[in-house]
Order: sequence, then C-alpha cells, then structure tokens
Amino acid sequence: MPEPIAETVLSKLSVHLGPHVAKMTLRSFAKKVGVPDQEHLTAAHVPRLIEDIRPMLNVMIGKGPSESVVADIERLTM
Amino acid sequence: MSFFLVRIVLYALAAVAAGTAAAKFAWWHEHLGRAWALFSLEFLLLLVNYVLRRAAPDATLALNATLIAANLAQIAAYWLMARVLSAAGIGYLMSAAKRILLTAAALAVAIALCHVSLLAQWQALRSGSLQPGALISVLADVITFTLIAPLAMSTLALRGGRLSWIFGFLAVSVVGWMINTGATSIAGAFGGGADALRLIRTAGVAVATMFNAAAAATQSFAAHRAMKGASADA
Repeated sequence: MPEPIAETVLSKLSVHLGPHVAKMTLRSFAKKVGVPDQEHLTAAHVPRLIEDIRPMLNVMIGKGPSESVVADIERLTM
Repeated sequence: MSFFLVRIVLYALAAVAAGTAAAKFAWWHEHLGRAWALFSLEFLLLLVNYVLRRAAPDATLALNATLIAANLAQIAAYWLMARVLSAAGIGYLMSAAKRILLTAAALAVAIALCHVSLLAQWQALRSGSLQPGALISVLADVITFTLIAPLAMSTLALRGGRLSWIFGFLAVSVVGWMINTGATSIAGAFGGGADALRLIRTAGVAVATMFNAAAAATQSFAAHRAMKGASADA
C-alpha cells in the first residue's frame, strides 16, 4: 500500500524543518489548496502544493536544496 | 600562540566558513546567501581592523570605517537569519505575543549588558567628543543581543530538523559576543587584571567565531546533503 501523500511530504520537510514546523506548514498549505485536513491530500493536489511550498523552501534551505526536496516529493507522490 | 595570532586565526576561519556557505547560496541572489555573505564580510573587516589596530594605530579613518562596516554587516547578517521564518512566509507559526515578550526580555538584557558603554556614548554625545565607530559598535551589540530571542525561538520551533542546529549555533555565537562585551565586568568580578581581561575577551571572540563557523559549516553541509540525497535517490 503506498504511503499517504501527507506522510511522504511530512517526512521530506521534517528532515530540514523538524516535525513541528513541517506539520504546521503542511496543514497550512493543505488549507491553501482547499483541503481542510492534510490527511485528505491526494496526488492531484501535489502540483499546487509544491507550487506553494517551493518559495518557502527556497528561503528556508536555499534554491538548490529546495529543488532537490521538491523533486523528491514529486517522484514519490505523482 | 599569542592572543593576537589566535584572534587572526579565529576571524579568518569564520570569514572562510561563512564565505563558503554564501557561495553555496549564490552569494547575494538568495536570502541565506546574503546573510552568509554579510557574516563573511563582517569577519573579514574585523580581521582587517584588528591587524590595523596593531600595525597602524593612528589610521583613525581606516579603523573607524572598518569597525563601522563590520558592525553594520553583523547587524544585517543576524537580522536576515533571525527573520528567515518570516521571509519564508511561515513566521506566523510562532505566536506574536511570545515573540514580542521574548524580544523585549532580550532587549532588557542587552541594555543591561551594554549600559556602561551606552552611558559613555551618551556622555560623549553631550560633550561633543562622539566617535562614530564606538557608537555604532555599542548599538550593534544591543541589536545583536536582542536578536538572540528570534534565533532561540527558531531553534526551538525547528527542533528535530537540520536547520535547528544552524539557529542554535548562531544563538550561542551571540552569547560569545556578550562575553566579549561583558569582559570588563566578568574580569572585575573575579578580581582579574589586564591579562584576565584579554583572556576573557579572546574567549568571547572564540565562542562567537567558532559557533558562527559551526553554523556556516552546518548550513553548507545540510545543503550538500539535501542535493546529494536527491541525486542518490534518483
């Protein structure tokens, strides 16, 4: 059974942001894409989610590492 | 090794570590790159200032210029790092009330630590003998010491993640500058003379530079691992 989208994204963000900020950030970005609960994120939401997450990661960890994390999320969820 | 050489090595090490981190983030083109470029510039200018103080003590203009520029670079660098979460658009994750309260507490501690220098600058201003380098230096201390609050909050918020170490190391580096500023009081409290004062000041600079270098190295290493990890997985 594939890993739920939320868990995959969380595991990738947590490495850099820690579990607390990763969880709160994902919850907030999930709301932005119109999902009330991050557990209901589907593969269809991923492109928009990544579009929102990328600028945040660019500042937090830099553009190069951010592209790597985003590529990882895309590869594992789409 | 003499105190002089120790300081030279420490400033050079911190400048190189910060410069390496800045290069990883395209220097001035990214938020983190700007912060590390400014840290690198700060330590480079402190190095030049320190050498000039011994080699050309009468070069007042050069001494003042390097000291002012180093302090301005320090303020800007710590400021950029302290507001990384806000710049990333996730500053709201930390409660505003807690942020204001802790920053006010840090400001109070900063003023308490710098009150002798602040009063001296106030007297100099009133008597018309104000030295811009010394004034900026005191103000830089107050601002930097205050920024320990957002740095510590970021450390706590990001705990468990790689970034937490960077903010933690930067917060400790601020403590190093606090030791350097409070060296006279610390030496006085322990009944130490000029040698003890020099030792405490050097220890403060050592903590500030080594932990700043540790933060820079962690930042570079985290970026390297993130990029390497992705290519290894692909």
